[in-house]
Amino acid sequence: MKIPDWLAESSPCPCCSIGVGGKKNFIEKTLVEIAGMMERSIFSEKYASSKGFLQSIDPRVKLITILLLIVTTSFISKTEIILGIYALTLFFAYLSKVELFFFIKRVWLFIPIFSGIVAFPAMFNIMTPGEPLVTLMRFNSTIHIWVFQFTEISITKEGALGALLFISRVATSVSLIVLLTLTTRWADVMKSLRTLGVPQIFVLVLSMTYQYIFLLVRIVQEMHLAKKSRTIKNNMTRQGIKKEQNWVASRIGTVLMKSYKMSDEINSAMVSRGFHGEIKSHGTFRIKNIDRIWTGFSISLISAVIWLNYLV
Amino acid sequence: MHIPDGYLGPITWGALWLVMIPIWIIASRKLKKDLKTKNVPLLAMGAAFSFVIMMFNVPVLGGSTGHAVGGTLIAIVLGPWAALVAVSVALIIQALFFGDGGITAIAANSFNIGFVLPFIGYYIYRLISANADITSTRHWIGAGIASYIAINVAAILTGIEFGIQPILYPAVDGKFQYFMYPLSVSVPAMAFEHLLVFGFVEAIVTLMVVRYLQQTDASLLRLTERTISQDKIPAGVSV
Repeated sequence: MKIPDWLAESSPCPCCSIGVGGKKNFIEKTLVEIAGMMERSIFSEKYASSKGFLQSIDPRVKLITILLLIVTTSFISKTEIILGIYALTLFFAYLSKVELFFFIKRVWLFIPIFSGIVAFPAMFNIMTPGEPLVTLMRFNSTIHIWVFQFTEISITKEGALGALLFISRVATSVSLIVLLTLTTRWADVMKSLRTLGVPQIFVLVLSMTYQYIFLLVRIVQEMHLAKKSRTIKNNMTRQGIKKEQNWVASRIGTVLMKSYKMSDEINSAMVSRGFHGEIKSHGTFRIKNIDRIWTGFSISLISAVIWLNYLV
Repeated sequence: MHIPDGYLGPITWGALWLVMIPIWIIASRKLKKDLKTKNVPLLAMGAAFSFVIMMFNVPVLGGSTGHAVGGTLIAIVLGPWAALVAVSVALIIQALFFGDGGITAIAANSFNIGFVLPFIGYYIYRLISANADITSTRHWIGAGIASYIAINVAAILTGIEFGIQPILYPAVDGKFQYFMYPLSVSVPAMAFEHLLVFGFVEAIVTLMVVRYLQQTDASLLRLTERTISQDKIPAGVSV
């Protein structure tokens, strides 16, 4: 079937501010966030089910080795080594058929950009004194602000290197965990948590939570869509805001009541199917040769990294 | 307020894991005794709710928006131990699947947002609303004050955890390893934004939801009292 031209056109509709570039109000913001979350989880499942390198590794082995790598990254003090691990995550993302642009965007869009804002002031001599690289401003006398005192504003070598170390550590850790979740089905990640000694009851709660998050998010999305479709103009006066806050609170209250009622019903459903507090998990994983090779590689990588960091 | 990986050094996050593991064990023992088989779906729904409450944007004056954490609200409804588990589970899912909050920092985040926040919020609420009728204004006023104080304590605690990094890991060759600003910067920065903005968002949401529950389904505010009173019923009496 051919899509009519008027439907294919992407010109923004004049009645709502999405896509127009205007400031989104709280309803639209929530809707956009929910859409983003759904999109991310759909993409995760897509990559997890494609046939790449990391997808073929046993989830338990993958979980343990990647968590060990994250812990190791936390101990490393040399920026070059951390950047080396980062380059490896890109390489394995490529081998696992994850589009590199998507992978980089997914990693950098959230935490590292925020951390960049955190690390930015540390580049200057006020926070990190040292050898100046670029001097932006010079003062005739010493300036005292709160606990700081300085005679010039400049970016220092130590500051810039420190900020780079900080950001690369954050980005590498996020890359490692994104790599794990992109290449592993969440149900398998959950099951693998058992091998780390996480109690069965926690694993069951975790996997049930993950399922019901999507149900609740769907309810929240519908509430907001319904509200948006009935809103003509936003009333952003003091009174209007109070009314909107009341609306948000009443919806949160409704979701709370719904989830409580649902937990009762789920409990009855579980008990009527024979649940009595004990859980048996089905489906077994089998260790293959590729898992042994990956384990060997990870252990040698971690040892090499520790050796380079502490002994060289 | 979710601490990512790389902000805290191994001493801090390691110590907080050592603190949180026994707390989680105590929590699961307590809940097993109180809730029996019902605990699994109840905790799962509580965790899903604590995840979803953060998705609600709340309009504030000036056209901007903020969101609540909801730790105090969950503690008021489910009790502090169930809130601890529910919020921790939500934090683990956020860290694992949404890259929000670090893996090494799961214990640190659970300590601040899952343990300190709900417990402080819950006990302040109980103190203010003690012996009050279920329709009493003391319930929602208490919820507002409790959630405001609780989120600020959690934020300042996070600021302290950040600020001790330059002390634990002094600069090597002039550059810091982890979070680089001293306590004199990190604590005021965290306290400032929470005392002025996020604390109020949290208080408004908690207070209004409690009021809404009072008007629509007040039994939800009584859940924790009921589990306590049920224990006191002598054996052989059917409920």
